[in-house]
Amino acid sequence: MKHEWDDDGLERFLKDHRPFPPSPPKDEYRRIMAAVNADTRHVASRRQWKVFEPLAWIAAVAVIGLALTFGRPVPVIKGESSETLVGGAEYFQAPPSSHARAAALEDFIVETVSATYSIQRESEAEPFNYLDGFSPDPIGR
Amino acid sequence: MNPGGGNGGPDGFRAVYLEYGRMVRSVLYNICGGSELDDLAQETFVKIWKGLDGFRNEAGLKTWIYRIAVNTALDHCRRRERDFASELPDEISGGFGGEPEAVYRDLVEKGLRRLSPEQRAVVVLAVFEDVPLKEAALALDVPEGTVKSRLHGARRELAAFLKENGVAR
Repeated sequence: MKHEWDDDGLERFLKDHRPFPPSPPKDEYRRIMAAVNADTRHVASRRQWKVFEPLAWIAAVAVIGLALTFGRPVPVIKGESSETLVGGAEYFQAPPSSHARAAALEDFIVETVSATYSIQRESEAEPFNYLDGFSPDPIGR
Repeated sequence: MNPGGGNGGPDGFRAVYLEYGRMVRSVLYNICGGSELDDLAQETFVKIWKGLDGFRNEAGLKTWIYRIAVNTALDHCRRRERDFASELPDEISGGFGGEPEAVYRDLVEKGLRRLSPEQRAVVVLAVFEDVPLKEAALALDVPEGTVKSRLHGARRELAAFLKENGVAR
């Protein structure tokens, strides 16, 4: 059948024969609610993070600052017989601004300086032999 | 349902879903096709849920929901490289010897595919859903004149297509 129409007729034809979507899945509403809940949780955690983010940054900067200020590595000094750990452990264990702490720092400095000095003296006494391990005769005669 | 503000909790939202679910699917289907219809319907309702809280009843709930559905559909069309136009087979289902109603329906669907997504959105709202042009303009967030010119272009294109296929004189 051929239709003859003006704008209204065309619109009526289109409306009468409009395509319909397939039926929704039976659990569509449940799925939508699951998506809504997931989104709500995501938004809530983002909101929480927004509150805690500046605090986390401050804490991170503080930790790095403390580590740089007080977290100097304990010096390892090679002694005469074996590797000796001369540490500032006593210094850190002692309560701050105490005599014990000052004494520990003093001991630490004295030990460090004397150990360094003795190593220096040793190396002066026996200079390193750069030819050690090399044959004086490269041809092997 | 609580159109004055607040999403009314799950019960209010369920009422919105029951009242507008079919309409949302129809809008999405006619603009984007059926391949990702369920996902798009879900995306639309998540947006509705999020927006119901701040909804202030300026344009009416239905127009607002149209707006969300159309925007979701158009965003999807823009994201997708391949348009809805390449989704359906070219031949008319059942051929011209089939049930005339089914043939016409296929032709209308095929005719829609020839339009741009923006023109399809106008046809869907103004023709299929009977939304007045002023409200359609609000839903599409374009001036009323733009809606009219898009509708005019779409009508001309669809009439030519139907004529080509022997439906109209």
